[in-house]
Amino acid sequence: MVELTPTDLSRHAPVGLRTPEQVMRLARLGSAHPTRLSFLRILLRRMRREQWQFERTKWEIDSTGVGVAIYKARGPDLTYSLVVFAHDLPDQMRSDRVIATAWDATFTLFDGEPTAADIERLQSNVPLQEAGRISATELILSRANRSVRLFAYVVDCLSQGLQPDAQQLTDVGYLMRTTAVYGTGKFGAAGRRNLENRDHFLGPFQAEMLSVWLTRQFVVDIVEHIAKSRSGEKAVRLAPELRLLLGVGNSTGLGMAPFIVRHPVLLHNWMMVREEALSRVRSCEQASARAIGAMRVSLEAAIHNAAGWRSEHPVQVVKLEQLRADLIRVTEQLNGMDLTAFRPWNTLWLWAEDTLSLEGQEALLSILLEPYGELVDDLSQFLSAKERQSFRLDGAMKVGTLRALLETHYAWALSIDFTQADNTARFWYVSEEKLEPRLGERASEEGAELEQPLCIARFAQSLFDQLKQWEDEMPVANFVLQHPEARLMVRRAQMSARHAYAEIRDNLIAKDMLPIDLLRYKLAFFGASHFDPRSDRWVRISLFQGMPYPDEFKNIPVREIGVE
Amino acid sequence: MSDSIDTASSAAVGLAATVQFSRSELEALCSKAARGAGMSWGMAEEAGYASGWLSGRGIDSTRTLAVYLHLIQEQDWRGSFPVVHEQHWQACSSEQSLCPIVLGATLSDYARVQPMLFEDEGLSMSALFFPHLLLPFLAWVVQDLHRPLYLRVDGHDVCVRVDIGLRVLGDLDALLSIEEASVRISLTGGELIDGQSLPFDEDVAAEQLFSGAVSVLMSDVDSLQQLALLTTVPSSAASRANAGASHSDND
Repeated sequence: MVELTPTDLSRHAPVGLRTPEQVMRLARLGSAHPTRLSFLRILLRRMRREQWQFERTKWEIDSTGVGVAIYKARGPDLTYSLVVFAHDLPDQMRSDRVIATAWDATFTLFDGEPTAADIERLQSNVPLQEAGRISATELILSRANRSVRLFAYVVDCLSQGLQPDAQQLTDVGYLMRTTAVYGTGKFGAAGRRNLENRDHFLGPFQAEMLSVWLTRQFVVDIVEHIAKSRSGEKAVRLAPELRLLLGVGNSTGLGMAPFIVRHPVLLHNWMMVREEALSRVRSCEQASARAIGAMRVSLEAAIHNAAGWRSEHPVQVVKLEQLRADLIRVTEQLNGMDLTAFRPWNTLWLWAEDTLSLEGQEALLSILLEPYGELVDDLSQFLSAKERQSFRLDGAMKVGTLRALLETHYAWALSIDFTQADNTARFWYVSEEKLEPRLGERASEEGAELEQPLCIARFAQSLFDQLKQWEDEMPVANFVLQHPEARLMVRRAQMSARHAYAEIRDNLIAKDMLPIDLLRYKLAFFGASHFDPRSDRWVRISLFQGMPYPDEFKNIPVREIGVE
Repeated sequence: MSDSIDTASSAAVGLAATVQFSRSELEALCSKAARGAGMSWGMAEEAGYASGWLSGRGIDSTRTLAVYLHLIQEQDWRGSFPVVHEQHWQACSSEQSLCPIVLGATLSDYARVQPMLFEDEGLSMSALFFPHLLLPFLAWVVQDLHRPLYLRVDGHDVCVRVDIGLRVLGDLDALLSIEEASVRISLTGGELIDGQSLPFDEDVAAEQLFSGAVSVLMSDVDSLQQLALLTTVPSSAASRANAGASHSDND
């Protein structure tokens, strides 16, 4: 009889999750890559599984590219329509910022199929964006601007009967970029609570992703339309392999940053799902020949992606060099490894943690998940959060327990020296002029007294200091009655008991903090690729690049499109 | 004027424009306004929660909240906090009435610490502004107690209970019309036959709870936005310069 020893048992225990201390740092979050659990991938998988149908039901666009178009997406139960208003925008009016008042195209995702009266109502509101008003029959409000250079070039080529140069398409990556995609209850649109009973929108940002994906079809359609209007039968359509190179661009500034801090439970769920997925793949005891083959394909795809990724921003230029070098090392490591050994992916991962840059490590995470859909895709159901369930403060919690929570989950914050000016150099605020979040310099700019509550590290430390005057046995109810200013932080600290990945464990008001790290982190969860910072607080990305289009969705074999 | 801004007639205010708000949008606006009026961030979140909860049940509290927040803007908000005793709570400042948001949040906090809080004669409170703003917080408390709570205001009894969803029995309309009154909260009350049933968050489908948007008066929204703007920073050259990309967007 063979005896089972504790060593044998522990050998088969799942590989533990990376800890919050390790993963919730800005530098690492700012190196995040999209994975198969990114929101746009989840959407495409579901639509394929449920055999959604897509159709362009209206195209009333004139030869200058102005008019209305509608794209219908029909699922098993419900239909949605992307209503597009195409405009003719003079170059001098084109701005990606929220201060813009006109765009090349404006969109809304309509719940159902709009009537003529609906379209008339939307026509007088959607082109105005923030200055208009939509209703609970609309889910999304968005707008996009052309990449002027590439758009004009592609129209020129197609109208002359020529295909554009693939390299030029790759260099930019999109013909139009969205400059805002508003969802969940903004400007009168249906709120999250309205959608909670719709399975297909249970995952985060699924309506936003659907809207952007349909937008991608419109962008190709309008380029071809303008080319054809210009030169009639001489014009050609964009070759399928070339249009695959194009995603929908997106240009994002600080507006996205506060979201991440204000939704700690959601943030926790996103991170837990990703870390659990990595743990599952690392815990695979044997890699099948099929999995090893798929892993090599996945690595090749990552190398290809890194090769086509352009940025001029000094920070990203360095990270891209590291990434490309790291991926070569991963290839070499994979070639030299015994992949039939016990837990080969864990061996590879541990090597990577000691060897690769953060950019390389996070890329490897994405590569490792890719072949293991059967193992990790079910985790997507845990990405949402019912935040209101964690909202109520627990007044009966003892001060000692709260103190312990801070010591456990906020040790990183308690050790920051806030008497150092560099550690309080910035403050987040909302501008009166444009109602957009901005980041100010405390020493030189006015308005620090109106600081937004994003300086969680400082709040945590301040709460910890205040609690020093209080006995362990006192209930939190007594404390918050005396200290109403601490209520927000008490709530967060209580949430952390069950949500260890809820906080970004860095000082968000430090002098050297890079806001683009916050943006990239969220955008990677969306499924964005080709991060191209335009400053330390502004980033462009591409969505759906390399993915199928709605008009070819049902014809493309699954294995070729990278969604299964 | 666009179609989404309707013209509605109301006996109280005459002709007034209304605007459709989603619940989350309303919660965000109310939170910002509460902060603008001087509440702490955490308490401002409670104000947002309360407005959202009520609006989700067809009760528009934007007007009351706007009126109340403008009022406290003129005062020392801390003076409206309760002094917590066993059977009677009153405002810290004898000049002021209790703040319904702070009182509601504090009742919710203390209900778990002192489960006997509402036993016997119950808990009485001297002058309180807009007592109906307590309902969202009492909804939390009745979940802890697993027993109905009776709210007696100006001779009107309202019962908050959880059985098939949350129910508020009694003359809700009378409660909504009261601006300031003494209040008693207890476990017993008069016999209530008629009443309204308000669905409770976790027990009913979202679509039942909230059919879409809330229609609120533009004038109330303006009033809240005026306060919300107090949380923002006036623009400066430095502020504008730091807001965008460092390259042109035309490329």
